Amino acid sequence: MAIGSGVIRGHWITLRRFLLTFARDVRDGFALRRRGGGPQPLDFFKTPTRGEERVVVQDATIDGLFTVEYPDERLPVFERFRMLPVLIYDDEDGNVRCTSCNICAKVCPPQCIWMVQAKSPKGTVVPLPEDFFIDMDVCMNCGLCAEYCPFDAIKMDQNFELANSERHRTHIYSLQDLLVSSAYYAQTHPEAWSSPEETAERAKVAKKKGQRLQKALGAGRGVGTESAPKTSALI
Amino acid sequence: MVSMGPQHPSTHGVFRMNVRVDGETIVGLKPVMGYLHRNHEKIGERNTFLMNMPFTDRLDYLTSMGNNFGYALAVEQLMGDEAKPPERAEYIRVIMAELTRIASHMWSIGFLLNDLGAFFTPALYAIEERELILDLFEWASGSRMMCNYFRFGGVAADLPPGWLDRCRAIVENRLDKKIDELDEYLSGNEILLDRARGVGVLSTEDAINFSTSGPVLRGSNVPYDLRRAAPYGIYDRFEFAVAVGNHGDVYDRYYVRLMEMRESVRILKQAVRGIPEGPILAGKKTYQIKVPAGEAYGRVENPKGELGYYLVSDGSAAAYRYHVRSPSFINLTALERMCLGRTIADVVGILGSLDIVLGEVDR
Repeated sequence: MAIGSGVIRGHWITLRRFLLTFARDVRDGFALRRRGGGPQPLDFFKTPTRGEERVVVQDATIDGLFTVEYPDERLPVFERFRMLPVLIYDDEDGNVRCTSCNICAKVCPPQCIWMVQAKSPKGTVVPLPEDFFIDMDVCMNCGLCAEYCPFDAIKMDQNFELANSERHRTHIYSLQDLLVSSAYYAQTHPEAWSSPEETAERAKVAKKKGQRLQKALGAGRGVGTESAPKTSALI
Repeated sequence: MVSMGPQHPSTHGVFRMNVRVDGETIVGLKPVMGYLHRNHEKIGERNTFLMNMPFTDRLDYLTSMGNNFGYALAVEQLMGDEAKPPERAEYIRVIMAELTRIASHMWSIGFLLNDLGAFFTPALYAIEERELILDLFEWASGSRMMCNYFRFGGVAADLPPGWLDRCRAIVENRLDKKIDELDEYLSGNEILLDRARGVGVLSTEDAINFSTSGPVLRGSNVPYDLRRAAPYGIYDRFEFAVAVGNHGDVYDRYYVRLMEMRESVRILKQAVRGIPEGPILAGKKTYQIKVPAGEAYGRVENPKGELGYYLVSDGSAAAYRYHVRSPSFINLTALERMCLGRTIADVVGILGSLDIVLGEVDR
């Protein structure tokens, strides 16, 4: 085998890439310091405050190799990025949106969702979850539960830092662990929250749920959406 | 007899080869696959049709959009006109499938060079483009690898604002240059030529007789591509060529993949220019999907070859019988024929040129 022009051309491409990326780092001020480090040129020991890490975006125009120095740097999180499901409660009235209708559990491919439906003092069924469980280690993050929830109650969260040292208790998320406010969801999913579809869905669902609550608890007692019983998690 | 492997990055403990050697020369080879045992097909008969969609992501986990596509086609065949995807959804499906092909071939070429001893530089160059494509997947579907994006009669969600602009920027201005660079970097490299030319030859007859498909079949000079032979979706509207090799060796399989990426970029350019506005799903979104009784075989030209889903429905909520024809598994049957007479060192490169993913080998 003779080493010829093909190998030399390959080396030239590697060298060109090295020079290109080096020039880019010099231009961006990252030639002599860790990219996720502190403000000084040789600040190797400082790490950014949690939540203020530099977000690194590699767009179509950037050339060369790219290393994101996680956790000092982060990739941007796209709005639709999905990890585990969460349950939404509305900030205005503190009501959990979930009616414990069980559709999320029915469509869940790995069957990792189960729940206990709330009961009124009379023993009749109330459209609220008494408790709600998701086994996060079984969840395959597919998002079908959120997609097919008819009450807009279950949504996919973006938090991916879930490492833990114990599985059997801490990884079975209960209602307490799953509840997040509608403000949190609006913040993580601004496009979806302000979309006409979700706005219309919210109005429709609030009405539907109010009617179901009234029916369940008895219209004579004057129970509507505003005075719906809150789950213990929110009190 | 030597028990060899696992040595390829995607074999990780579930694939090895029992190799019979005479000195350094291979005189027999038996692939030993297993130990993953996810029961994909049996779970597919337990799950409802919709619930099985995210499971198809996990077959060949590098090409989840393509896997979704084949499964959606099979169920849509059973559902008939009621599940005919709207125009925009058809375009989105083609865009996603072709981006998947580029991402998968990039990975395959990068790791073939890794198998041939180039360590990581070519793989990193190739992965760079793949990452940009995965960003697009994450942006549209919510996940980089387990996309779960297709639905019966369309796709799960419309493309987010700005997505098409970024996709256009990558497709129109970047991918061609990067594929050219990879070509210039690798195709004429004497070390690669020495390790790949004339190695792992699979004749045209053998390629057909072993039922191989994808770049393995086309590398052996059989111009068979489902997108041309049995067009699905809207592939009949696009201009592209079917790439073939002449000798059926490792080099041809590598080069066919490189040429296929160029053709995918050609299709993508036409698709991103022609994509219309409109709905992305036929009918109303529901989890209660009624699939009439009958049988169907939905197949797509996935990056690794023909991926087929055979479904029998008895009219109930779940499939009565569900079987996957996975390209990695079937291409592996030709491994011994390719390796006979070569040396142990060649086996690593030959296996790399098959581009297998064990998720769909041992389902």
